[in-house]
Amino acid sequence: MLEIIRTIPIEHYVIYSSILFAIGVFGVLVRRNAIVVLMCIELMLNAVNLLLAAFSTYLSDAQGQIMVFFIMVVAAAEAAVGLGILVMIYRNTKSTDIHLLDNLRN
Amino acid sequence: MTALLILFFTALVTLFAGLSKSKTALQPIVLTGCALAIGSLAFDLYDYQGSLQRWADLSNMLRFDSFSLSFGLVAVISSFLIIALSGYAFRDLNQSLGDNYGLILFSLCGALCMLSFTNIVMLFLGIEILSIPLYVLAGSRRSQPKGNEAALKYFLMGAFATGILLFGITLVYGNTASFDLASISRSIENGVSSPIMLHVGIALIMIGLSFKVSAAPFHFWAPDVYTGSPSLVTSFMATVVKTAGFAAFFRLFSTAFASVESTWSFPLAIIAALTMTLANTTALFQSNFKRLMAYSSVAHAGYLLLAILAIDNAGAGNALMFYLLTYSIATICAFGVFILVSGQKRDNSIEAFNGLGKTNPFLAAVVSVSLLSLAGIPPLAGFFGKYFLFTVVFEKYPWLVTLAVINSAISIYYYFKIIAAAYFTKAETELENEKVVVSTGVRWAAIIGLVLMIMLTIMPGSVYTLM
Repeated sequence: MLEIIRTIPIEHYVIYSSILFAIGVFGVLVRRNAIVVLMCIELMLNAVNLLLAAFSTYLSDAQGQIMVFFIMVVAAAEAAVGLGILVMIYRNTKSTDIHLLDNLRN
Repeated sequence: MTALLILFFTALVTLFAGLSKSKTALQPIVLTGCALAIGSLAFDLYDYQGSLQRWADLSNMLRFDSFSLSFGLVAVISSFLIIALSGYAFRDLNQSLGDNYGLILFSLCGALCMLSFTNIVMLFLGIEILSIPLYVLAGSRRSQPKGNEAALKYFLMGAFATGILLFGITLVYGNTASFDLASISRSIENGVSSPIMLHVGIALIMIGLSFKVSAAPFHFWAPDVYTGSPSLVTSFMATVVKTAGFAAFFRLFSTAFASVESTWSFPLAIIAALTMTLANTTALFQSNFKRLMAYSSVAHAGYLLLAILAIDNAGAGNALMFYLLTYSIATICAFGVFILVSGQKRDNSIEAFNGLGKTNPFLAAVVSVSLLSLAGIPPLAGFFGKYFLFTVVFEKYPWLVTLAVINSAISIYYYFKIIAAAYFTKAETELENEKVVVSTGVRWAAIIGLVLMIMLTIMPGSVYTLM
């Protein structure tokens, strides 16, 4: 089984995850809608999860896969708090555009 | 570990006690929990061999050595002072008072995990346990648009930084096949398969942690978040979060990545130089007290990075701990006075301090001593903090220390602006002439803070060698 998995070299996973991660970073920096930004952050975390699972298989070491579970749990907790904050903001401003929120700059 | 358990159970008790109608018992419960945690940390520090043996089972994940115990003391003492101030700052909260205290304590539990990790999984979990309650606390005044904005900015930046940190951790894991600090260090010394991937990983971890400790050029969120959050939460962010962040930064880089120091040392020196210079020059033009303190805390982050550059020096950890202790106590005392003054004069700018020397000599004295200590004026504790920190790194980076000294000279200007407002600016309006009513909690917190600052001034050596 391991032999079959390893027919794809690990570099491919590294490059693929890096591209996914870069798309996520780009989205966080460019998009205006807070929900889309949140989704881009999730994309970054999923790129990490994929790479961790790949490394874990190639190194035959279970720690990486355990870490994936921790990241999933934390991402869920973070999404819950983040969506809560978004709902609070939407109630006050009727918008989820992060560029409208610049009252703190003098 | 005992302290961690005490704090966790106090937080649970506080959450349930918050459900009852009478809220008067909440603050004493939290203060008792913190005091017990301080006691147990101090006891463990006194007998830390015993403490190491008692919790030896955890040593794959958490290790309570003298480093984590002394930094834990700094974090818990800061939280104790902050909670002592909270009686006045949280006076308008009723329904959510228990939640607020509970979240502060949970956040503190995360800080203790960050101080004592020996496995990167615990570092990641500690950062998240610290941050997630703080996202909620930053927006705890739901009807205030500024608080909402601060909460969203803090959340997005925090989650983004976590993503970057995790990608770095993954790349390091792919090369070293372990999350354990000691085995990572061993694998790096034995040579890794792909050094480029390892170095990119270390760089990403450095960027992620720089976001968390607000070092330039990743500090842009700090002024906005510090200004928009409730003042008490700001003081928590500026002290406890910074303590935990720097201790984790130091622990990770001094144990796991010490053998490849030559690759990350110089970029970190550039980050430190940039942080202190940018923050100090921007702080000169601020008129809002919280924004000024935000830039001041970014500037102090720049000085604190010097300790991480000097990891091969045996005194670097002690210097970091001493500096964080003096910085935290001084910042909390300044914030305590500001919370009282701004609450009663409805003014967040430096002008709120006008005429304070006449109306409230005690408050004016507290704020002057703490700001002078932050500026590093010689007889005070802050001076010794800077002295210890600058000496450990001087041999390696003389130019950086010179820059740091110039920067602390610049910082005297903006700290003096506040002291000058308190003593030399005459109060003009009637509101400014009014005496500020000092609540008992704030008075005691200020007295404890002053006593600690004087102790640190009289016997810096004995605290420095505590670790």
